[in-house]
Amino acid sequence: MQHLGLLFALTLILVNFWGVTLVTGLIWKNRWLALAAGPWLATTAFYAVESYHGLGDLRGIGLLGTITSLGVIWLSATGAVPARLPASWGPRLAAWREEFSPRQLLEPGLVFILVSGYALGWRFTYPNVDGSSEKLADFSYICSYYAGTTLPVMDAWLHPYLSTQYYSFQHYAAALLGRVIGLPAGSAYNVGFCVLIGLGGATFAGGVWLACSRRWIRWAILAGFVVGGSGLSGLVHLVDKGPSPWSSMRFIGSAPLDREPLGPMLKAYTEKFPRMELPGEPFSYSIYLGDYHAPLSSYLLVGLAVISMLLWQRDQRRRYAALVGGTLTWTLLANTWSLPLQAIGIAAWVLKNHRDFRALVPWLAAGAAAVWMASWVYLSAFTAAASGYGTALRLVPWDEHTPPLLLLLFLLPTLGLSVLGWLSGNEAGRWLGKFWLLMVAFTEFVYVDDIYSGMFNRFNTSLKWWPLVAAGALLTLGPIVLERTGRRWVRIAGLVLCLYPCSFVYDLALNWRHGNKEAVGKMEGHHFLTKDMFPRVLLSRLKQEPSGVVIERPQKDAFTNSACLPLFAGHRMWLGWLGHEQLWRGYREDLPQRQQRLFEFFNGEMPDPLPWLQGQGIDYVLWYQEGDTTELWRKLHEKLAPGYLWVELFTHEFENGTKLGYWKAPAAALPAAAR
Amino acid sequence: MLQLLSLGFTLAVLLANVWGMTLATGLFWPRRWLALTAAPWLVVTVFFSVECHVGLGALRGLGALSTLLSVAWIVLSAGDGPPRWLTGAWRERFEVWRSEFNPRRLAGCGAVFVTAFAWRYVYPDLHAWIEKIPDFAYVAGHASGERIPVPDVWLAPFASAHYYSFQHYAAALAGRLLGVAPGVAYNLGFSLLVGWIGAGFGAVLVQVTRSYWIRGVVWSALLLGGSGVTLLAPWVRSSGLPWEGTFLFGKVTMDKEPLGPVLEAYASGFKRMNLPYEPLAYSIYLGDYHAPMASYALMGLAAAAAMAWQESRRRRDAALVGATLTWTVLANLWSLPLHGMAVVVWCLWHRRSFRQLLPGLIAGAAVVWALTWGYLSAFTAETVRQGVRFDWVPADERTPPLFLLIALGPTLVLALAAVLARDGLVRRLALIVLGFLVVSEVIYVDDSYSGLENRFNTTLKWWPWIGSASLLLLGPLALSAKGRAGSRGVVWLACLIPCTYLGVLVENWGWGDRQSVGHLEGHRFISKVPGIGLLLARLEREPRGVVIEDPRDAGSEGLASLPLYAGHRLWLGWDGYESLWRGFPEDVGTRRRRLVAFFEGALPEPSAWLEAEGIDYVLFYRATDTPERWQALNASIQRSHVWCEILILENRPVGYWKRRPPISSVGR
Repeated sequence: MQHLGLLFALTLILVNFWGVTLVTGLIWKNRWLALAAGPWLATTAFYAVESYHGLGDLRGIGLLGTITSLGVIWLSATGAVPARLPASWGPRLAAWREEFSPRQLLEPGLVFILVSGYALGWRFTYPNVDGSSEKLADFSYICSYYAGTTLPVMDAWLHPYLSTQYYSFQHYAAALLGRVIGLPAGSAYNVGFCVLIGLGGATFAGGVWLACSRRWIRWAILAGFVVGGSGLSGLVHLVDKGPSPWSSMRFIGSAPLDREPLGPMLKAYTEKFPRMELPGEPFSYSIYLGDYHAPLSSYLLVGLAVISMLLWQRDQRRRYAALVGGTLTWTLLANTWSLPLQAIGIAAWVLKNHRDFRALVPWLAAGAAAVWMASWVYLSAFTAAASGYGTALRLVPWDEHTPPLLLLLFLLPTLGLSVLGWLSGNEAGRWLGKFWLLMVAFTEFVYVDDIYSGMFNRFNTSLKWWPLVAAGALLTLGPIVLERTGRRWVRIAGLVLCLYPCSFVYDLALNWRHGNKEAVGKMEGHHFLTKDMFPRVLLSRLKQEPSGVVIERPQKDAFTNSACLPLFAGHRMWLGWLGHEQLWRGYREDLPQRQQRLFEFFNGEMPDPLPWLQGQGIDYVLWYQEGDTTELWRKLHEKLAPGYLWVELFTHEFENGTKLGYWKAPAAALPAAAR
Repeated sequence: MLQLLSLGFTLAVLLANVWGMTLATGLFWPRRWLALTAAPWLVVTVFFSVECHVGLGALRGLGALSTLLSVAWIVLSAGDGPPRWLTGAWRERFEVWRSEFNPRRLAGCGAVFVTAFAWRYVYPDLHAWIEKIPDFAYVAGHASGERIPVPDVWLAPFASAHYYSFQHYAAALAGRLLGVAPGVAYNLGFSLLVGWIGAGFGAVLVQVTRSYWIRGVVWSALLLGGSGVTLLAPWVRSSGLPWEGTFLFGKVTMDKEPLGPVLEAYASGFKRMNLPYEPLAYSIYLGDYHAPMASYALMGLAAAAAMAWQESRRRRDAALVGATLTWTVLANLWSLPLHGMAVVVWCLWHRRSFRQLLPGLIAGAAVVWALTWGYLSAFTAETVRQGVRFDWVPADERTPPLFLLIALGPTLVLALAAVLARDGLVRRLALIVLGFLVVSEVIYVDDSYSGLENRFNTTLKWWPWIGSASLLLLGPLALSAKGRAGSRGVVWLACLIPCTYLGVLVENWGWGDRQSVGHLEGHRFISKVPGIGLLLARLEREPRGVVIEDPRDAGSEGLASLPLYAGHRLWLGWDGYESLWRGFPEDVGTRRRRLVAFFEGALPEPSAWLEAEGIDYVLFYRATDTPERWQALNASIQRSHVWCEILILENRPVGYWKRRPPISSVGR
């Protein structure tokens, strides 16, 4: 039954996406572009409205959207002409139908369904939203947006502050999807992830399908994107014993290089250089990992910009240029890290078309300004918060460069495609080959100087830039090198460079097969918690309480299965993962003191906990963790009883009568509607 | 980098709205310079009028809408022809409008805005020197969007109807439309006002002279020029501070050989009086968003509208002149005598056309009065209560002649040279200027100041007004008048010599302390201190309420301003200023004593007192707030207020107490 519910939710999403694509197609009259741009435009429209007034629950809108979508789909599938339609609209309708009929949309739709279905294969089998990587941090953003309040919303991990310190547009989109379809937040995370991946695949395919005509080449390039690893995929088996999918991504600076004979040889080579952690996490790895992390958006935005550029090259319509400009602001909103690359790419394209400067630039700027205008409220707060970080673009110090051989190996497909593009004899190929080589050089000589330092100085930059450059090169050069060049050897070499990273499938398949599948199908994402009785009972009861501010016994810093139960129940926390909040908020002095206070509170060391709770506006104190002993409970309850009510859910008959429950602020403090 | 992008966008939106307002105003006053100058006054008056009856609160949505409308206006004005749906007479009207307001013909006040913004961007802190914090208190008061008169954010629960704060309302309005913090509204509002002053001067100069040279020189002298003291200052004083380069005597020590001691010896023969002269250029450097700034903008607007009327004889132009009278009452009552006298003289000049002139003039003044009545009725009652009046300057308080000659040298030279001109108009104007100078020397406004400062406020506000007005009107006429080349040369010198003040300004801009560059919110000088920035961030999240903090300075900066940045009100701000504004009422002094006693732990039953005064938050972050004091206060007020800790900083708690019962966050 649960799976039927999921199927229905997925069908609703599909219908709504189809509808959004068709409506977008009224203005941007290409099916691939409409599919890629529609969700961005629709999310931006909601974002603009919610910047002024939060819309709360959106299930009604979802229902309306579904009905409207069905109507538009019907219109696209039949030959009926509405009687009231002005005569001049007749040909327009016919042209729209020609491009957007179900038959024409079959291929884009199939790509979207297949790629998101592939992602669903991972999320359905391993749906836990746990503390193993960035999942919970990403989930906290989705939860912040779930409240549907006016933007910027309150940070679900740091009451009472606003969530203005992160590029979280894609998290807003997942929450929006969940609110519209009526999913629990955890399911919105998992389903949102699959939809984002599906859109990433469809957007990439849009660029490839527009630039290339042979079917098998299109699918080969798409496979290189969706399941292709780095240049070290496959090769990693020759140098490491028992590699995981992680090994070929976090290779430079982390690989043990312990497999004879090549491993030690490579190790000897790397030891000549200062050790630097220089990872790169391509799209395929991100799908396996399942983190709904901001860099995913950048793939979509690169693809969207490329499709718009290709279409602009065809007929120079202003609306395509505006969309290219729009991707700049969306990049700022969704993943600021890739803004330099996106901006350089667009600037290079404008330079290449400098003769059409006057036709191009004003509309490009108008597109960027329009999206900025729509998201102005958030961007003002976000840019003000970002000014406190002190991040800046800097030149890479001479002793922090990548060892040349490792750079070559890691980015081999990209470098190879670029050189092949240069040698392809195709004018666009030559230009693009040089451009991507320059981009690789840029990533090697420039980095974003953030809070990390030492061997991690370039960590975040290479992690986020290299895969994007690789994807961009594959998208733009793939069709030229694999199909449009007249030189056969270039085509064959290109095919090899495109397909050999797909050997990563082997690592993925092994992992998928041998992973712990205890949570299969539990899309709410909290099985890792609720498989135990205490969290399960507590979660189900907390969901019945009005949304409020919660504390629980903290675990140190970050990457732990903590600070999540209240989020799954729809509440906010006084403090989530300390490490992440510190990183996001420029290492504010008060945050470690917050964690310290929590430890003091839960260990019964706080002399006067009641006024502290009241002063900080805390509504619920959870008592369910291992360290929450009966002695501590007695000690705390004595002090809290005058101001807070104890709700007991369970008492262990053994284990010294361990209690499960929570204290809550008295009913007088709750708004009447919530009581 | 990101912040610069964001600032660029905000400025673009601001520009679009200013442009849009100008285009809309152009439909009624179809001259681009006049429309540009009048637009902000008209738009602000409309909002002011509505908010006298109902406060509109946050206006960000309206700001977004007005931006879109403005962009539509701009596109319309830049298009190739009238839109198809426009027909008949409207089509012709549109053509006329478009020819006047085409984007290429609208590049005016940008340069002045940039000059002012260059100061505010580099030195954006709203620190306690001079008048910035009191001015900010007015902007912050209006930023809440409550009904006018808004509550006084420095004296809860009283209303703010005791000060001419129209320009502060305008800055707050711009901030509300843009959705920026009140500190940003202050800095942007200041730059905008200076931009409009420049536009107003431009509006006059383009009508008076066709010579680009004359326009450029007079415009520069108005915006960048110092006083007659400027050239002399390096030989009189050892200190080179900008404020000392504009006036002599009084508190200024003339200590530099050879001229300083000579002038000091001369000064010893007179009663020492502090008689400052703050030209516009100095005010731009200073960055105080102080009421006299509005008078410069109104001067330009009135003169431009008057000239437009002389040409068109249209009532709406006369109405604008009349409206400037009421706007002067609203924005800077101090200059009403001068502005009023100038308008009366102008009416007398055109006495033969009084039937065409007076109805429009009176209607203009009356309409603005009617629209702002809600505020003006309260404001005028307060002014009458305080009993400020004109008086004759006592014989021993007159300016020593030599100092008068030096300080007002350029104006006097200009007027005397013009008296010798052959042009009758120029001669008569020169005599009027001399008449104004005489008035400023024999009459003063008797306010609460006395002794050394008896004429302080009057000369501070009147002399620069007279200097600027005479340069604006007489300058270009005297420069282009036919007649003796020698006298024109003297006028050129009178315009150019004060411009040497630019050197002092550039030096100060270049070598100031730039720790806060780009932090337009204005509080970096206090929020950079550990704990205080966090306290501010947390206070921003609390519902608007009444706040107290230790009123003693004790080396801490930004007294009585932190709660304002967070959108709260203070039970008592700067007590000296509140006393001055409200005619020294006895209870203000008592309030300060109460506050000191409270923080010293000497107030009996402090919880009852807090509850009775409706105080929601007690801040604890000042230099005088020690751990011992925290213990004592917490013990004495925990019955009514609960402690909210932000940070422990070197064993010193930073945070605030808030009123019980704490408001639950459930459901919020």
